[in-house]
Amino acid sequence: MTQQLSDNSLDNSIAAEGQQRIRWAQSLMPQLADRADAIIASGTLKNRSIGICLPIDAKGATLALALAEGGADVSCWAPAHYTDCAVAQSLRQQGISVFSSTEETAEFDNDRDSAHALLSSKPDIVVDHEAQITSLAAASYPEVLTHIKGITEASKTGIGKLRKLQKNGELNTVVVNLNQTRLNRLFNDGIGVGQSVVMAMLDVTNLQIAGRNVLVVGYGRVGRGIAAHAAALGARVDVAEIDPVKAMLAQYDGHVAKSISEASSGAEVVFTATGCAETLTAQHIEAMPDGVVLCSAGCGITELPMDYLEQTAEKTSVRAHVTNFQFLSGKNLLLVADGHCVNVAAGEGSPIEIVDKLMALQLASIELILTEGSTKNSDLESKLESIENAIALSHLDSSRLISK
Amino acid sequence: MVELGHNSTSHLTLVNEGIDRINWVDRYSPVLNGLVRKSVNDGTLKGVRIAVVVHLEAKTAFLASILADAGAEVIVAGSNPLTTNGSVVEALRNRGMTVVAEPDGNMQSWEQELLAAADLQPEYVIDDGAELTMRIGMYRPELFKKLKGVSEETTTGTARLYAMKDAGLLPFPALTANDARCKHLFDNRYGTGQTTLQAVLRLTNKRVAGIQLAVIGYGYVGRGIAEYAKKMGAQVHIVETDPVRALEAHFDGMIVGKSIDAVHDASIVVTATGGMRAIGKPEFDVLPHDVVLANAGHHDLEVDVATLAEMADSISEKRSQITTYHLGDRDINVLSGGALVNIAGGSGHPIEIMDLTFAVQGLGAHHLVNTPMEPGVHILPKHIDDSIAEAKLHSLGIFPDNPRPEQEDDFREWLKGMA
Repeated sequence: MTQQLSDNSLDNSIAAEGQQRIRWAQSLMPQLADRADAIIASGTLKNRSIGICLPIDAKGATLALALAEGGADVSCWAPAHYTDCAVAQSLRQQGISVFSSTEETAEFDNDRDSAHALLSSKPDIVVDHEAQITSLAAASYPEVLTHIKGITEASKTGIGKLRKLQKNGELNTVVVNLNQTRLNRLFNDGIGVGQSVVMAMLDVTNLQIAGRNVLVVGYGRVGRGIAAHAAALGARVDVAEIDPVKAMLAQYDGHVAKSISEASSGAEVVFTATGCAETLTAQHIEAMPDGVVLCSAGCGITELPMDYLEQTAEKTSVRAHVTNFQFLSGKNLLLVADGHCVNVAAGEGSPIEIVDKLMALQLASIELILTEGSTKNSDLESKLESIENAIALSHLDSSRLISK
Repeated sequence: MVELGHNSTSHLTLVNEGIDRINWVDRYSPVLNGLVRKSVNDGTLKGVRIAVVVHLEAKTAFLASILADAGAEVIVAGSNPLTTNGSVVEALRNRGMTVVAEPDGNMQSWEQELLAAADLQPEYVIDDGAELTMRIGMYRPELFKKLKGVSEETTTGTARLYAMKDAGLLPFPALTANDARCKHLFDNRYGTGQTTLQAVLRLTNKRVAGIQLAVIGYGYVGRGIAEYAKKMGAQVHIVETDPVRALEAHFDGMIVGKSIDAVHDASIVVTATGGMRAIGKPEFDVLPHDVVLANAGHHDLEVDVATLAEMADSISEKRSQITTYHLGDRDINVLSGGALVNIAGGSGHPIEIMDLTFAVQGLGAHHLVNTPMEPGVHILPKHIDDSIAEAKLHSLGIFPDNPRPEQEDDFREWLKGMA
């Protein structure tokens, strides 16, 4: 996701590549397509303004295009490191506003400016990710929040932030919690992220995982999926988890539960998957051996002691998506994807077929907000449950049909 | 291809990228840097002309560099026109090595490159698929007579060398690196297994969990792919014509059956026979819509793309490295044109695996140079094979036990009694 844009002809060829990726994703997203057909026909989306703050990749683009086809005015935003430039360019050519700084050099300020631009489109509905847009609005544009009819959010971090805003009385709008859906928990968190995180690390480094000591920090669903995929490919997995019940689960799953401090000295590859700020400290890093490979699979750089790395080690780029930090002692640490969530920043994210089901739920949530906006959250959640069942049944039916 | 001036910035960038890639390999190659360097630097390779004809990317370049550091005159060529990395080629040229390979080639340009490599009159060949060896035999018979030895990388090439020997057409000793345990137990199984899945998933952004995945061929390569896919949640179907291996697959928990049944519901089909046309018309007739076909074997022809093209109403490029053949209402997607998907569509084997494989090759070439051997096909002596595994274990800080005398079977006592 690191091409730079310059002149128009280059833009066109990049857009064509993005369009190829979008078409490929569309061909593997039947659940979203089915729901989209119905909602487009209903006219519910006409003239609605929808802001999508998911990573800009082919799968998010498929949702954006479906909404636009239904007559919605769609704007997209993502931080630069989670933006596939080719897809962004293709979306722009199809009339969708993409407020994302797609320069490789984009710093936080640019992302913030582009996020402001999305808010200025005054969305009726926000498809948020880690509550980034809602938090920004609450801080700088409270009047935009009063205009928003509903927010959908699939990440745990985001739900936490939104609940806090609601509690403080800063947010009085409907929040559809997709994080707690079974399709998200069991399939995306549990399988999709695990597969794509482990594979992205291997793609970027060209290393072998069989026989390596892997440390997974955090044994929530994402950590569990990463540990399972690493172990499937032959890694020896240590798990650091502060919740004793989850740590015990890691033991029962065949991994070794340790504290981060205990596990650091033997770790050859580290995945952080806690979703908590400063999961790793300077002390942990100091205990890690020379050549350790560090990846974030949770909420990116906030999990890592970036200031410590930047201030105490000399930084060199050694290959695409791999930065070497050399400490005064001569010890090296290899940071993957600049500390951003590795499967999205250095790969294409979760597998298409899994994201298909989540995007179908996103679309269903938007429909629920528009048609039953005043309903209580608990009612919306039970409606979502039956939609999940329908998606799963449809999946099972189609695989049964094939095997006849 | 764009001609680059040798002092241009873009050429320098290319050279530096190649050097970075080779340095990255250097970091993760304890056996090549330790045991192999020590052995080959004994002066016996000085001035010896060795052709290295293996997929030309950073790991191969590192092997070639080690041989060159030991004083060998190294000639480098690629074993497949689609797998040559341009930056690596330029980095090797930059250090003065003879490279007869260009990136983005085709079968014709590759043939010419191999003949050019032959004409540089190598004494020894480190070969892959016996591609150079066979061509020297076919097109340069007088050079073939002068060839002193060949060390071969793959299952396919090993079979070819045995066939040449059986036909009385092998006038020099050949070592089958593939038969060394430090090669096939690791490279074929773990290396190809991991990176084939990686490449398929990277090219398609698809999932493994819950899909039906068919593997054609249950040798070491097929087994590695099948094992990993199964552990990641796929239902794995195996097609294998060797009854013992087919039974083994069954005992490993795979679904074993006929190819048309195995591919009938598959989302992903991977060929790994090392032979030709592992899947062809009978399978194409029954493949489901949107299936993905990938090849993990030596030949670009395991997926019979020529026949598929004849059967197709139209062909399109759906996405980078995905060619789609439209057959009626079905789309059949072939990855990387049917070439080895982990190399053509990925970064090839993991570095640590190639550290073992190229240790076998490097020490094999050294052994050929230093040991008089009869013409024919030979296996790397066990003590050399063992020394590689030991070096790798030691680099990991692992020092296994030696057997104690009392642990030996008591057959000696029996023999005494029987005498």
